[in-house]
Amino acid sequence: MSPKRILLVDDEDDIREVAAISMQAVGGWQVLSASSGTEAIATALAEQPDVILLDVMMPDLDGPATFKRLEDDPRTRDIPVILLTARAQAADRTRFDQLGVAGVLSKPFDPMSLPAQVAALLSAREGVGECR
Amino acid sequence: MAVWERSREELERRIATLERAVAALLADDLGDALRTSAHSDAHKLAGSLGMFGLAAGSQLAHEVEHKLAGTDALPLSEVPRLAQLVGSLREQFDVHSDGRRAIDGEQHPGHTLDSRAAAHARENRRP
Repeated sequence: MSPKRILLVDDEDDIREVAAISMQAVGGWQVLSASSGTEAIATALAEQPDVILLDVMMPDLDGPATFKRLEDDPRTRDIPVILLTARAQAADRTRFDQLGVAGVLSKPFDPMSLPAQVAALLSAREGVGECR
Repeated sequence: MAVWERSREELERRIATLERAVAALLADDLGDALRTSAHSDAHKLAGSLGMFGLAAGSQLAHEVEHKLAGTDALPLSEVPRLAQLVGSLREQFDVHSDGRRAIDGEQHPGHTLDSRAAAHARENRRP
């Protein structure tokens, strides 16, 4: 079975790099990356990743706006999206959860546990899907 | 080169922006452009320092970000606290940098993300 593929989207190089090492070396995932919302949409369309880890605060097209566009397109709407945010306030998290994303993770993340956190959110989402 | 070494220069630049903003505040001369840059850099520091083992630095940066948010003039009474936060952030970063240099210089295994992740991957490949 081939490894799952994750698309990492963040405008900060160091965060993309650390997340990529974490997901590849610790989690055994194949990693795609994008540095903007626009690039993320194009990559998602072309590559159809298994999940997208999407930063909230990016210039131009931010995380929630990128998610909306992915959701509006039938070719990408079924790809689970996990938002990554440094804005850890409870009010923000609730708002992001209400968008319909697969989950919200906080920055800074622990590189050694990021793959497990992503897997847990995806499992929880699949569990909800099975119950419906 | 370890991820930390590649990122350190950028993190250093962001902290320097916060220090410039504090200096400008103390001189009652913080313009919108510098405040916006400092707010953005504080946000980025808050999101990234913890990845490198500097959780306390992330927390300090988060507090700085909070104080620099908005467009209203920062009350004069807040300036000493902001200066203190940025000073603590600088101190933590420098101590951490020196520690990392010493560790990396000795090629101590298991203290960089790259080596920890590589060790983890090797472990998982064992039958």
